[in-house]
Amino acid sequence: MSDSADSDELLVQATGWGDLKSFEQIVERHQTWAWRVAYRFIGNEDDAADIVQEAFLRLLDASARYRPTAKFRTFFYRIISRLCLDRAKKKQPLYLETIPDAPDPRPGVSDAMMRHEAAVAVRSALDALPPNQRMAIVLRYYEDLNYEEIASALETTTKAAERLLARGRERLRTILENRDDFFHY
Amino acid sequence: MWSCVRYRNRVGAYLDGEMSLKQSKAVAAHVARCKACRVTLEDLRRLAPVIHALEVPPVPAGLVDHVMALAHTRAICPQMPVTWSPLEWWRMVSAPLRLAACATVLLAFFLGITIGRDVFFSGNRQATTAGVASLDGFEWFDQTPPASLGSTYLMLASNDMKGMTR
Repeated sequence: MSDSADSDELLVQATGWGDLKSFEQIVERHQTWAWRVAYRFIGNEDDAADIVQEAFLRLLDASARYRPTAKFRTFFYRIISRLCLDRAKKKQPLYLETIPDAPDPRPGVSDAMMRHEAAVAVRSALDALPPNQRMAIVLRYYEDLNYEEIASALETTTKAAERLLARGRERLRTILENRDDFFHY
Repeated sequence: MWSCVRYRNRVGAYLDGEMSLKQSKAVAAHVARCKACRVTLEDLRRLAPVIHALEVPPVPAGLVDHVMALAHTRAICPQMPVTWSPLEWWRMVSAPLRLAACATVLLAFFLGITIGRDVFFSGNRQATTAGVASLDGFEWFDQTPPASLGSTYLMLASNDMKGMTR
């Protein structure tokens, strides 16, 4: 079934009329990027699965009231963002001391290991950000949303979204610049 | 003309292409002559590939089935109470609707004060009404105007009282 035949907006409206087959199509179509956003934000598979599951159930509950005045993705980003931020408030903050040292640059150390250690460092740096800044970074860098879309997802203004991004980037830069392999000239 | 700090704060927006052409040219011109802002811009350029190093595991197997099982449960038991949260409602509605809700609450508040004030002061109005009724031609403002059931009853009652006292 092509996307042009059943747009997301139509599927959500059909879900609102009680059509669970349409809802299943929505879930299959959007589970991957929803999972990606949730995992990149929260950094934990169990929490990310809970968030994604709850997001789809909230979508199901809201489908009867859904009006296609906004794109479906914008609407769903807002639901996921809200759940991620609520979950982050309940979690303990990650301390900076857990950021691993720069990987061993000597020959013999595999690229895969170095990439993995870099990923762990990025994860730690993201976890050190305040939740709003972290979500702005995830939506910009991983989902490629523009400032207006980020503002819509975070239910704030475009200027506020820009400020969140700027502060988030500055903190990431500060945390990661201690690693020689990240910022070297 | 922006300050250097302002330029540095907006370098991210410049990099993301979120500026007007005029603003972009101003930032580019500033960055060309300011080393601190140039360093910031370069660091932000290097940040993107670093951030993309984050690994994401695959979607958990059975996620769709699990969500659909819960969805079917909700469909079978529609009488399950849905907790309505005012905060949730506030978050979901649009800004114009929020403004309308606030205006309605304020209007109800002031109407209540106005009506309450009128009721409070209406005690004095009764005495005023009695005073007006005693004026010639204003007897219709009395509580028991002529030819009303009330005035007839009072007349009969006063006649009975006269008969009893004889």
